[in-house]
Amino acid sequence: MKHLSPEQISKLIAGTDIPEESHARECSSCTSEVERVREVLAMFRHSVRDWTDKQDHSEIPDCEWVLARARPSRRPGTNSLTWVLAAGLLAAIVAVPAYQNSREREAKAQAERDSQLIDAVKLQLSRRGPIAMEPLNQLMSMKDAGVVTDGKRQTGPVRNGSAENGGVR
Amino acid sequence: MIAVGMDAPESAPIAELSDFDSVVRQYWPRIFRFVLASIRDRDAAETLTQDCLLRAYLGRHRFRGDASLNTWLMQIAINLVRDFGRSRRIQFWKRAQATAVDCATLSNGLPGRGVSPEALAVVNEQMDAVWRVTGNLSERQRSIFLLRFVEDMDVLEIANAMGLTEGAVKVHLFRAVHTVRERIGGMR
Repeated sequence: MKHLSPEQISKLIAGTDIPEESHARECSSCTSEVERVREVLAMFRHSVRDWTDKQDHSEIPDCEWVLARARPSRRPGTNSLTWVLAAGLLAAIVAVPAYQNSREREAKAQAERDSQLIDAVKLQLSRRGPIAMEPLNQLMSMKDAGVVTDGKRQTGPVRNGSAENGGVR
Repeated sequence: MIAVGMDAPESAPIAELSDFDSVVRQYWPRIFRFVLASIRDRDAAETLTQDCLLRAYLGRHRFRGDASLNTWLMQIAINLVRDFGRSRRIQFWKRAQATAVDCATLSNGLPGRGVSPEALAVVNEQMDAVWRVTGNLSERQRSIFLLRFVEDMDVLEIANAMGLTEGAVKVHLFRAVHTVRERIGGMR
């Protein structure tokens, strides 16, 4: 007698018709194998149902509870994200004017420094001789102005020659 | 096919859906059981079950009664489980592994009267094996297997819920059963 193959037994259990179905009814060996697998599956059903029942701790909800899902609710992440965005915005509002003020102050200070530098350069360029000759130049200027002439007070204008000679005699 | 998600003209829901409180009370445990056995994550199963009933409520005007209410609800649940698996494939399997039920937990509910400790150990081992094998089946095979052998739905109902032909359901069911049998073959 040829018994059912494992595939044929699986097909029988899955509910697929097979030509050898009559054999499965008559052969005790094949019948017991089919029954054994069906029994395992029945126990599986029982144990899964029992397990899922134990997992369901909630009371049986009603329609209102189901509809609560449709209402807009704050997600856990949304709340913190909102706070982060708000804090960022606040920081930007405070920081931007402060940054602009500091830029303006710095620009003003720089302009002053530039101005001082230009004045110093102008002063340097306006000198008629080297710094070492500055006292002499001052003396010459005083002579030109008629303030001092060889220890005597000069009343008239100074001749050009004295200026051309650099005031040195 | 059932008219879920189709743009059918709205009409008054059939009487079965008019009292939605009783629908929730009656079908919540069943949907939760299927979803939990599919994804094996209690919190996610609760959320998906709530989603399933919410979708049914919002689409109750489109239910025409071509199939049973149970089949219609299961179709929504199957789609949610599939979407959940797709969107969180990696997390899903990690979680499935982390929350895998050990054989002791799963077989706690087995009737043990008149069964020897040795026989009970074999049964526990078998339950553990079937549970693990179903976890490794393809998503479609697992759904069909659970609908057939846990939810007791017949092939036609499963075909309606899955949007497949009866022949296709039988093929998937055969493959799932054969895989399970290969795993438990030597456990007697």
